[in-house]
Amino acid sequence: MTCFDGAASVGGGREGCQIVPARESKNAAKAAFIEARSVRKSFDGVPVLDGVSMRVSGSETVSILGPSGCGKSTLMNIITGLIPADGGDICFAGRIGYMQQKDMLLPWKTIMANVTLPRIIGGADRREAEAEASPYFEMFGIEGYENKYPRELSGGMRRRASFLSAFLISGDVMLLDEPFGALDSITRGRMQRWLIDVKRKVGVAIMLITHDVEEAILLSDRVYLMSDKPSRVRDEIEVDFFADEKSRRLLSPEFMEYKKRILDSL
Amino acid sequence: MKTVLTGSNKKRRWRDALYPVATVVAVVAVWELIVRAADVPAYLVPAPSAIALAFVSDFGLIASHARATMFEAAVGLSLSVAIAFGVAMLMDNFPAVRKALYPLLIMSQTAPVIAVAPILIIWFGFGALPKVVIVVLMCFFPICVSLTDGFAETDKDFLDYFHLIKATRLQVYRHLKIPHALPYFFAGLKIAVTYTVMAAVIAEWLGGNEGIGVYMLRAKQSFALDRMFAAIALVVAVSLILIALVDLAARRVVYWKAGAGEGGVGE
Repeated sequence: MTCFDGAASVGGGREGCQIVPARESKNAAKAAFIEARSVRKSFDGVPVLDGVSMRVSGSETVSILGPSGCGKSTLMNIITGLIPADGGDICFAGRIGYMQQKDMLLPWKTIMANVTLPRIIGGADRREAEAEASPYFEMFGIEGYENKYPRELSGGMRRRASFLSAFLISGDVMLLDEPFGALDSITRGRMQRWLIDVKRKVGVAIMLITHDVEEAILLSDRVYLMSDKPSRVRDEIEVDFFADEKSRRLLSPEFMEYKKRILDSL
Repeated sequence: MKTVLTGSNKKRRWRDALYPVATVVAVVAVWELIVRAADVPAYLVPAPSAIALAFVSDFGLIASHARATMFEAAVGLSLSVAIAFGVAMLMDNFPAVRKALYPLLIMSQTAPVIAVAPILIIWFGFGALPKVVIVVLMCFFPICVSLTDGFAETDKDFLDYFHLIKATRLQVYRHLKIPHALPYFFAGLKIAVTYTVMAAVIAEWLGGNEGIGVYMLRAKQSFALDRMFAAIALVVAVSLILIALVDLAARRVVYWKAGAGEGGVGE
């Protein structure tokens, strides 16, 4: 079951999109990827994306870092197929799980019903979908909340549930659109460490959109720096310290070096 | 099913109900006193005690008329709900239908029911049918409009999300639009039920063989104002019970809104 069938080739006449068929099992060989090539988009004649190229694959975490209004969310919407691009290609293999800034949790459904909704919509048996989802509740730190309603959860817990929901759509590649932007800074810090932890357990590829420099450095293996509108990739930075222990990054001297480098570049 | 009321909430609800009840009791008491003290003739203003007496002594007759009225009201209200859902979904799905129907719906509400009812009686006779049609004419509109608004105000981000997970139109209604529109629906239904019994009574008054309206007309013609008031009291009581039932149903069905704003648990 794919969420998106093959490549959404929009440039016309371009070739070279390698499409790997989607796999059914999670945590299988990591052939999944998303690649954007020279994606262009304008709204009412105003260019927003001016040839953006980037790639995420394997089990890496890649951040797209840029100021508010630089078209990050437009890029997300193009990748997920909500809006068409004017030019360029989007190639991907596997399924894409998409987590938005807002909690996509229906207030009238329990957390379990919410996270299994995409599978139910896809025609899956409810019991099967729940059996498939339930081991992840503990892994994601929301065990015991299966039968609660979203309003009974705190903002951080709702984010975990949203993440689980996106993860259940795809354990291959996930797009996170400013996932912790609406949280207070203490909860955000906790959620970032939580993400590092969960990511290590499930090994999914993550494309993270953020305007928070520290969040990008803390969580990423690579960071794409976006320019102002019309945006393009200004710089691509490999973040390769404490790659296996990212939660130690925050207090290390390298952290400040990266931060300075990124801030200088922006 | 989750508990929807905390103890203190329930207590507050009872305490809030005390105010109107006390007011009614006071008004009835003053009324009784004035009628007795000034010796007002019963064909002008009957005393509340006389009204109560009339209700009890005439109960069998009132009950049999009430049964006819309740039947018309129940059928009319059910039809209103069903038609409102159908029309609201049509308007939600097809903008052309919405543009064509919406102004007509509003126009239909400006036509005076008092004038329309006799026409319906000419067309459909003196039975239950024209009464049911009148009830539908009056009750369908608030339900339909609130449902249409409820569908239209569905969060666009959620619609995108459903598009993303490839939901069919029917699934969007089942999992998203209808639950989202339910609070709107109950708001419209609450307005509708305040009209329901009244609409049936008016229709009966304008021509019929049985029903509270017919009973009232006969009471009026014989200047039995005590029976008149007894019938009015019954209509009010039944309408209030209907409103309470709608409130109860709303709290049950729209359980996720209850206690909204209370703090979340967990981290």
